Amino acid sequence: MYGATVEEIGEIKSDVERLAAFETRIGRGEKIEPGDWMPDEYRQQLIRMISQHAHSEVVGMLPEGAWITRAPNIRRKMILLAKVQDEAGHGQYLYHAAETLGATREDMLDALLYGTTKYASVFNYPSLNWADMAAIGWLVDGAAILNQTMLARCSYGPYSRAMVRICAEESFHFQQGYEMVIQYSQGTPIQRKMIQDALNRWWWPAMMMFGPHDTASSNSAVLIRWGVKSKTNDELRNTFVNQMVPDIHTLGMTVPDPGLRYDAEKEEWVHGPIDWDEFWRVVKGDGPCNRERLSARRAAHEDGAWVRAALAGYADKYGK
Amino acid sequence: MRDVPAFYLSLITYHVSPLHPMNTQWPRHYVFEQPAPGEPLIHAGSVHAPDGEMALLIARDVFARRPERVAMWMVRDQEIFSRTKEQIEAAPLGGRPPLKASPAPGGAAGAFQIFAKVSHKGVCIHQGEVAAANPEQALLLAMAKFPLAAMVWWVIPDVALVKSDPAETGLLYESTPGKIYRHENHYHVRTMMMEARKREQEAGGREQGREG
Repeated sequence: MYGATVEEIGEIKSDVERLAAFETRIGRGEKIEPGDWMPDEYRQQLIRMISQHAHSEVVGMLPEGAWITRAPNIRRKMILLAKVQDEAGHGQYLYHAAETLGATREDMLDALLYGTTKYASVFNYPSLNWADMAAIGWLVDGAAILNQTMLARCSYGPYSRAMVRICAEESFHFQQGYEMVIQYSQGTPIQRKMIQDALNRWWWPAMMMFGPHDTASSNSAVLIRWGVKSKTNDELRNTFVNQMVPDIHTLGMTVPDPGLRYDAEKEEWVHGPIDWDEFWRVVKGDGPCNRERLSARRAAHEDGAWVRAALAGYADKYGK
Repeated sequence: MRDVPAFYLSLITYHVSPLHPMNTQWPRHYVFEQPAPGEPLIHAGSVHAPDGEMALLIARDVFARRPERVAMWMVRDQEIFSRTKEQIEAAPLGGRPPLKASPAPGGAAGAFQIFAKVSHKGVCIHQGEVAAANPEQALLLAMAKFPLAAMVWWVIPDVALVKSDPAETGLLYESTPGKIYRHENHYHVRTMMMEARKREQEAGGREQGREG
């Protein structure tokens, strides 16, 4: 764009004034748009968050994609195909939002493929049987929806608009998992056993999606100050626990948390201690599937090189 | 909280200019979409693409994959003349020579499409068209023609816009009928849970003090 740069208008502001004006805009609930002045830390935090979110969507296709060919019936297969396709689309929305902040697609993908960035650690766990599709839809997408609903109000325009679209599409991801959990938990003895086992394996990875405890989260303060997050990790996690635990009990299942208790005074469920050693091990790349997920992504990237070369060649020859 | 010098160092911003050697990206195109016939186009976002035609296809995948649209317009970012309300007050239009000449040959009046944002939380929405010799004149005419308390105005020469072909609307944007399982209402979980809770209550239920 042109017509509004400092040189063209002749206004000069110090960075201190700019920061004050920026924080006033955030306080008023205004959206920050591409091209608006923003502190470098705001830009860097958002590039980190949005690109990791994008990587998570794309890597998240892998544990589910493995079961498309082994769905129990045609309806389940169509549903799973649509869900996985959505996740590819969500990755696209998010890579585009990160690009508006100056991040390049090449840098973001290099960081993912060569291990210098992270994606949601929940996707480093294997999907062992079809019941995992139910548990993933219900627990993992359920947790994601809580997080994304909050982010739909974030101060950065392109990210908040991407979240609104993603939330609308994600609701069926949650509902289809929920439907399967209800069906299997009230089904044959084998189905009940399978769904309880899947819940046992996916409960803690889903709980860890909300990130470290607030006291251990170095990024939260500035993200809340600048309107990117409006709830802390622990607040969201507690909302999740109180949303899911009553339903788990109603369906005759148990939560794999010996420390879970009901606080009668506050009228809420309180979860037991989280195994953070396992969390950090998985985040740092030592989970059950980290290496497998990244090598799948690298193969996809290398196999697709000819498409990128063709587009670039066409643009050079014919582009305007 | 960071120490003060580091905090102020973090305020140094950078802009990735198209000429910067690190910028290997395709040019940025702004995307405007029309949700339904008769409604104005709104600013959806932007995409990187090698040319206008690819921009239309990429924008379709990014912004219109599920929701329906009837049309999309693309424009290269460098073609948008933008002014905020504060900037217009600080430096009124028409006081200096124009920044860019008319897009029409011979300096004749060209058509400009006008977009404006009226609320903090909104996006730029298409207002209509004016004919002018240059973008600043177009903005002056637009402010008279569309009396709005706009926060931001965008002025775009009509010739710079790449527009989707109306004949291809169905092919590009209509969603496939029959994919009912994409709607959350397709899953009767509410009814199923109500029945499960009723059975739980009838069976004596679980006390809330029970440990999980």
